[in-house]
Amino acid sequence: MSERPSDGALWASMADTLRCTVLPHLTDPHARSATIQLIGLAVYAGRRGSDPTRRRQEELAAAMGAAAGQDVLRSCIAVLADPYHRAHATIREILERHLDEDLETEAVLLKAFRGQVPDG
Amino acid sequence: MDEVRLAEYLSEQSGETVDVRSSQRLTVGHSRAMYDVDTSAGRFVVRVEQGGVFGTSSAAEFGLMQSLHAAGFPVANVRWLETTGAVLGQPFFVMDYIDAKQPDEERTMDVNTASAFVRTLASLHRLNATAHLPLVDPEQATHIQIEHWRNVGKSGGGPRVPMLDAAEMWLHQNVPLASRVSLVHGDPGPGNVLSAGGDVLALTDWEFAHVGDPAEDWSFCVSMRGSRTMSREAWLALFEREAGVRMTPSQWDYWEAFNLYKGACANRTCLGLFESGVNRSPNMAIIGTALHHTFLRRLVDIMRP
Repeated sequence: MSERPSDGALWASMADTLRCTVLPHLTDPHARSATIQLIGLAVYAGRRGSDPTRRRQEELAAAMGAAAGQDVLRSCIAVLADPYHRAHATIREILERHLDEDLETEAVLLKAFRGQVPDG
Repeated sequence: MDEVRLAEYLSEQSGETVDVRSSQRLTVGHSRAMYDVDTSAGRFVVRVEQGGVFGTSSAAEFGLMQSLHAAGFPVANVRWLETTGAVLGQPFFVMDYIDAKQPDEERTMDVNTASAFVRTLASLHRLNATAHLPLVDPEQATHIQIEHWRNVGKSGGGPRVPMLDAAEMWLHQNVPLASRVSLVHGDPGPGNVLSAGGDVLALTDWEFAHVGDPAEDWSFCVSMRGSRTMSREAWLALFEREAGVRMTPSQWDYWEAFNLYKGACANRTCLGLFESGVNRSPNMAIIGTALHHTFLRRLVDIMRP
């Protein structure tokens, strides 16, 4: 254990305090809505893990091979625009998986946006 | 809301001393902060920009609402426009408060009001568009909108989103031939209707209005705004009965994809504003990530070969 609290513990404290101590005292609809969303952000921040950007770009570059060039995302656009490109289906599949991973991580944000108090 | 500054502004604009008695932020809307303001000169709604969310402007919205109100179309009477941000920190405009049933979170709407809303939207599409906004070539109208939303999406910065760029190309390649263009509300649905006794008193939130294919509005209502109000089948039957609207399944798909693209691009502006500190409201982070990705996921499914 470190001498300082972990990010996870700090975010959990933020979410828990907003949920149990602050929210019950709020009656203004806008303040309640913003606080529920803030709980969502705190839970998301505590759970989302490290930034996947670099890992994802490496995966896309590997799938495209030499066609990846210097700007991997730009190359992805060219591949997606060409249905006959050998990597077309693979790149599309990888990008869709990345999108689904993001959506899974962000489910707590959507819940909060709909006005439901996130757990955890 | 700085009620003192607002009172000074209202006094200057109206030429009489105005006291602000109370202001209450309304929970509806994300691109603008809306305040119900009670003053000695009457009750108003103050619609305040939020740092450029969705890339829309108060000045354009104010001008169109003014023009539509003068033409007798049901919109709130707009009073004053402040474009500098010097009064409340952001541009805003002031409009008359309308004593009506406010849209609720679930966007419930009885059948009479829904019918009246559909007739009102159809009547918007029948107006002479060029009396309110500049003329647009019907063949270019949808391409212009795709380009507009592309630029809005890019304006927020951040890395490329290949799927969004692919969607842009797909939309350009598959634009349906427009038989006509009209005024398009751009964000129609039960959440943007003020009603009383089954009558529509006003359509609200005109920031996305433009000249384009009216199919955009019908699709937006059913696929983006109205799903909590009634089923897709019920909406389509209502559109046909009240407004004679009929489209093929592929046309409905195209316009749903268009609106998802529009929404995904608009939502992307929120992440830039949140990240830069222009707007640190938690909804900005959520719209810029989770909502953006939700729209993108649905869009990708429609474009599936």
